[in-house]
Amino acid sequence: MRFTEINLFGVYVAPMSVMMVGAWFVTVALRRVADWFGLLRHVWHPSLFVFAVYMIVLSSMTLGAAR
Amino acid sequence: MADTETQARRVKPEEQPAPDWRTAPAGPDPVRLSEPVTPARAGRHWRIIPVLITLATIAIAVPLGWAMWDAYMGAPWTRDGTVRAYVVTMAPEVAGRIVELPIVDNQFVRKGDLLVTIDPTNFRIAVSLGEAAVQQAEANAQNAQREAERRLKLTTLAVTVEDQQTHQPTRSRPKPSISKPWPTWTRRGSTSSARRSALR
Repeated sequence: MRFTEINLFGVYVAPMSVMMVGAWFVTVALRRVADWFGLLRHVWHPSLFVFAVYMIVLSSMTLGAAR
Repeated sequence: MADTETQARRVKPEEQPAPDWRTAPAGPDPVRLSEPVTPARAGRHWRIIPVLITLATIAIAVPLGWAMWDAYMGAPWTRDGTVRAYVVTMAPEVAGRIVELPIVDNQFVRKGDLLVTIDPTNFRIAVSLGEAAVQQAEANAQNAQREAERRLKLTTLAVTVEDQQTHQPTRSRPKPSISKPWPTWTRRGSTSSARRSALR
């Protein structure tokens, strides 16, 4: 499947923006889970780690949609 | 202790070399010097794993992000093609005077909306002419049929065999010339009405 614009109430938006929002929600959920187990305390520079996780999630979604 | 500290602080802004300042508090209070060193050394062993975890995550994220950039920005897709029209030139299929213009400038129109009405008089005349030609051809055909039937009933005393054969409606006889350019007009029926509705 290739990328197609997403019709958002009559406005066509780039699919990347929707995937970014989706990846952000996934990252928030992952961060909640990590906070529940206190995993982020055992990680150097937690915000950098969360950003890297967000990049991984977003890239996986994009590559999955591009395939 | 407080006295030595204040002395050391007072000494520090002056041009005193560093070793002199470091040895001054080390003498009276060796515990204070060794105290921050011990957790730092113990923490350094403990902190190497979190750093490795974060770096490994970044090492995964960077090539994935690179691949995502290639897949999203490098691949051609319909977003890269645009159609723009600020002024669209239009032309009708048939020429004629415009008798009605129900739209105004910059009006939003949908597919199927009426833009202009072309004077239908000439086309109505053409339809009437075509229908008249059809009726004429039908009358001619009826007339010929009557003539042929009449000659068939007569005996050879009244009409010659040649005349009978001339008026005989045979297939081999060439069709009237009117049927060549307008084949639908010679036959009365659905084709004629279809043409009329198409012209209307």
